[in-house]
Formats: sequence, structure tokens, C-alpha cells
Amino acid sequence: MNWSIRCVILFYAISTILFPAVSVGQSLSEVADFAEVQYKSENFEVAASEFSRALYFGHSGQDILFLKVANCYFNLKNFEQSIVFYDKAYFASQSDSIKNEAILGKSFSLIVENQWMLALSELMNIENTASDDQKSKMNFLQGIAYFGLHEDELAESSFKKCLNDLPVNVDFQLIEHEFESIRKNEKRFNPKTAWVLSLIVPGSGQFYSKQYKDAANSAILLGGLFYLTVNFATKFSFAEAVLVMLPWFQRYYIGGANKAEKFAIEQQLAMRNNSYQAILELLGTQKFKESKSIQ
Amino acid sequence: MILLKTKLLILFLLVTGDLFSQDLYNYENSVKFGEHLYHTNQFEFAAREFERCVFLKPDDQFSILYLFKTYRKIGDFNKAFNIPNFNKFLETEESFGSEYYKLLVQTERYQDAAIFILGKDYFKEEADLKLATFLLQKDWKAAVIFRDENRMKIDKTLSEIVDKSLLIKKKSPVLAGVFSAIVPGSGKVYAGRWTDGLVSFLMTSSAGFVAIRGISKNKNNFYPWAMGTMSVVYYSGNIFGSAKLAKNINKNKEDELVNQVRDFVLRD
Amino acid sequence: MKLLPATIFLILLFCFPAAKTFAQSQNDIVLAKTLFIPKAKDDFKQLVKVNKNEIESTFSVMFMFYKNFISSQDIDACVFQPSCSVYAIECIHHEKSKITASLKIADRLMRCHPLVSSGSYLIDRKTGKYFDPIEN
Repeated sequence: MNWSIRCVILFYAISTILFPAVSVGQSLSEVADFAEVQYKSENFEVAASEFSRALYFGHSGQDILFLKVANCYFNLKNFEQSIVFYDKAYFASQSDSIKNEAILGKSFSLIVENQWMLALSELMNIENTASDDQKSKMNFLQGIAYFGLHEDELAESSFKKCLNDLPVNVDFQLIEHEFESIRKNEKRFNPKTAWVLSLIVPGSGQFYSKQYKDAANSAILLGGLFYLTVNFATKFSFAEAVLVMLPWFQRYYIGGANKAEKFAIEQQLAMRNNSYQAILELLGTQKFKESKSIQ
Repeated sequence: MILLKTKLLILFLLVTGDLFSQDLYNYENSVKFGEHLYHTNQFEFAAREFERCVFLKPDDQFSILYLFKTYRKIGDFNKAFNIPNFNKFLETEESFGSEYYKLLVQTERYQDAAIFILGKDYFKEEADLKLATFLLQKDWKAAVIFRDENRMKIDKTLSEIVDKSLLIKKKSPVLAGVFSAIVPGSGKVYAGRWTDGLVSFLMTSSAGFVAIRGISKNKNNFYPWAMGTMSVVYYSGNIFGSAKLAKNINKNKEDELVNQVRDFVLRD
Repeated sequence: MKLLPATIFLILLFCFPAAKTFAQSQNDIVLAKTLFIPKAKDDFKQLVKVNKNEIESTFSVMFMFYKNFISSQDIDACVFQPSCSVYAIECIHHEKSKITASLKIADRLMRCHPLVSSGSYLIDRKTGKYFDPIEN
């Protein structure tokens, strides 16, 4: 038996006795690998608990693990917890790249919870060293947040920036066109106009907002109430008719106008949503178009 | 000979190496990790961890107790009640008893909680829990007597709640109904909602007024009769409503105290 | 020398940012698309699905008529959640005695006014109205 083999055996003996952590480390990495596999096959619940286990038993790269747990919670749509873990990842990390990822994840979670302002203020913290992908995602999220805040010009420029870095010349026509149609719609379905119209001629505001059934409903109802009031006045006294019927008449009169206003706003929002879907469709499919154009 | 020794040594090392290596899914590590999950409010994951611990060691007090706590936190009461071997420890261990008591309180089984406490020897000295069961069952008189007997042992918060229960002024539902029958709405004023009383008085009386005037003018008209019917329905509805309001107000006052007791029992 | 064109081609391929894709994965896009979808309106049909007798079906028809053609034109006047009409139809369907139901409804109509003393009811978070279910 030569010395070298003895040395190896001795080293192995000492290391197993003195550093059981070596073997723990091995099974720790197994846990992390298992979690990774689960994450890839979209078993996010198992992945989250296994990543947490790896974290708890001291797997190296805590920041990345926090980020992964956060991603799991994000995919499970548990945005409260995902925000907590993105924060943990941010504060555990020294690397700008991971910090940026954490910020992006957190602000996306906030956006899903409709906290537009908070999301925007989070996005302010993205470092300049961010990768192109991260910058593109930042613009994407910024665009959505501004869109949620009805800051259409800012949203438009953010969405454009999102396409800007591409090597292929993307024409911004579609985005410009969509925002143009949003603007047109806002002029076409003006809530105040609808409200005033309905006050002048009951039902006309709803007609303006393209809710024809409701327009007829409102006109007939108010006409009926008017008839009842007149009927009441002839049978009893004018004062009594005013006392009994006027409150009702007033309610449905104002109610109809309010509804016309509401319909106009609903029309605006529906059209906004349509344009938004079209823009996202463009952002989503752009990469396929791009690869085609290269071929 | 040397070769044999080497072989033995390698065998020894392989065995001991396995002994020293830690399996992260074994009992000890699962308990540790489960506890960590429990304390960071990740109860769903903690439950899974402790389920495995209980499977690995079916007689382990610690993990059974934690599993029970976790299910209580999640709000999955059926699973909590059905944990195997829990009942075995329930007979002798006070920590199990108090968890079980909390679960009964959390699911609003106050009567069961009272019976449970009386049946357990280890709760003999527990004055707080006994007083809490009196309060939870709204047995205010018994609570006052018990508090006065065990003044030294009782927690200050509970004692204050008992004092508050002495100050509750109950409204009589019958009286409220009678008031409203005499003057519509006065029952509600008596119960403490003067705006409700005013509105119901106005609505009942104006409907009645319109009806009487209309009928005296022209008996064959439909509107006054409809108004009259409405006035009668409003009148009786108001009597009913006043009695119900008095009852509800009493109940709300008591429920507020019960909730305070619940918070006291379920504090962690 | 055949290697040269291949190498140049490869170098060109790598220089050309063909691999560049958007950071936005399809998952992100799918999630983001759901953000501005208009909310579905309240469906009152489920309240009147089961009618045990003629009285209940009559009231159900009246309720649906009221909700569709009259209440839809009204201002948002009711201070309670569920609103008085929903409260009424629930009472009709769930109270054993129809007399109790009508008394409860009359009482509710008299309680529904803008002078409700705050603090007497819990506040419904979604609508910001006073929470007053039929169990109360």
C-alpha cells in the first residue's frame, strides 16, 4: 500500500469526521436541485417550500434563493408573500443584477395589485447597470403603470422605449395608432357630454353612449312617471302630486343622467382595454417577427 | 493482511460517513424547518413538514402539538380535530389541553369548551380559562361570583371585562315594541336610534295621512287604499323592528365583550 | 480553408443580436393582459334560481323586473349592502313565515335613509356601504 492512497484515506477520514457539513452540503445542493426541477415543471408550491428549506439550512447564494422563492409565490399569485421575498432578496444581495430582478418582480407584484404609484416609485431604484432585458422589462412595467394611472403620453413613450432597442426597425405605427384611437374615444365618449345630454332629453345620453336599450328604458320610465304625476295632479291636487311624485321623478331623472355618464366611462375603459390588448399582443409577438426577419 | 485492513477501514469510513451525513428530510431537520416556517407565518408549508414528522414518529408530542397549532392557524378545523394520537396526549398534557381549548373557542363551541375544562384535572388551578368560559357563554352572574371568589388568580384584562359586563344596560324588547305601538318610531328612540325613529314616524304617518285623506275624498280610488295598506305594513314593521333593534343592541353589547374574551384567549 | 467562410458566418451570426429577445416572457404578457379587463356586472339571476312556491316565483319575477328596468335607472340611493331589493328577495326566499319576511322588509325600508347613525353597522369594505344581511 503506497503513501498516496493512505493520504487519501486519511484525508477522507478526517474530513468526514471533522466536517460533516460537507455531506450536508451535498444533500443541501440536492434539495436545491430538486427545487429547481420542480420550479421548471411549474410545481411552484413544492418548489417554494424546497427553496425555503435550502435557504433555512444555509445553502449558499441566499439572495438567489430568496428571489426564487419570491418567483414561486409570484407564480402562485400570492403577491403579498412575493413582495416580502423580493424585498428579502433585494436586501440580501450585493449584486446589481439580482437587485434589479428583485425590484422588477416586486413592482410587477404591485402592478398586479393595482398599486401603480408604488410600482413606479419602486422602478425608480433600478440601477443604470441593468441589462438590456431588465431595461426592456422596466419600460414594459412602467408603461403598464402609467397606463393604469391614465398617463397616456408617458405610457406611450415607455412602450415605445420597450421596442426601441431592437436591431430591426420596428415602426411604432401600431402603438401610435392605438393611443390615437384611445384619444379619439375619449373625445367621442365624453362622460360630461353624456350627462348633460341626458338632463336635456332623458335617454339621449345613453343613446350617445351607444346603449340603445337603456336609452329606451330611461325614456319610457321617465315618461311613465311624468304621466303618473299629471294623473295624480288631476285627480287630487297639484301640491300633493308634487309632494308624492316629484321625489321619484327626480331620482330617476338624475339616475338616468348618472347612468349615461357611467356608460360613457365604461365605453372608454372597454376601448382602452382593447387597445391595451393590441399593444401587449405586439410586445409579445415581436420577438418571433424579429427572428423571422433575420432568417 | 494490510490489504484486509485497508478494506475494513474503507468499509468503516463508508458506514461512518453515512452516519455523519445529514439527511435534510429526516425527523430532526423537518422539525427545525417546520418550526421556522410556523414562526414566519408560512403555515401551509409548515403543516406539510409536521405531517411528515408525525408520520416518521407517530408518538412525538412536539410535532403533534405543532401540527395541531398549524392547522388551527390555517383554519382547517377538521384536520386539526382528526390528528392521530392527539387524544392520547390530551388526557395528560396541559399544553395539549390549552391548544384544544383554543380551537374550541375559535370555532365558537363555548359549551364544549366549558365541559372540556371541567373534565380535565390539569385545569383545576386554571382560574382564567374557567372565568373565560363563563364569559363566553354570557353567564355574567356566574362570572362575577367566580371573579370575586378567585380575585387573586384572575388576569387583569378578564377582571376588567367582568366589570364592564356589570355596566351593560339592557333595553327591553317588549317595552320598545309597546312604545312603537303607541307612537310609531318611539321604540327606536328608546333603543337609542333617534334618526331611525324620526324617519319611521314620518313614513308611517305620512302614508297614513295621505291614505285617510284620499279615502275620505273618493272611496273608489285605488291609490289611497294602497297607501293605507303600506301604512299598516310600515306600522307593524316598525313595532317588529323596534323589538328586534332592542334585542340586537343587547346582543351587540354582549358580543363585544365576548370578542374581547376571545381575543384574550386566542392571543399568542 | 473551407473553415474560413464557416468561421466568418459564425462570427457574423454571433455579432448579429439574433439571440436578443424581450425580457417579457409570454407568462408576463398573459398576466399583464388581465389587468384592465372590465369587471363583470352583478348577476341577480342566481338569487331567484330556486322558487319553492307561487309566492316566491311571483316575487322573483317582480324582483327581476325591478332590477332590470327600474332600479337600473335609479341613483345609488340605498345605504346598505345588500341593497333593499336584494334584502327583500332574500327575506322572501329564506324566512319561513312570509309575514315575518314582510315585517322585516318594511323595517328595512324605514331604516334605509341617509341619516343612519354611523357606528350602528359594520361597513362593507368592497362597496363602502353599511353591512346589514338578513341574519341581523
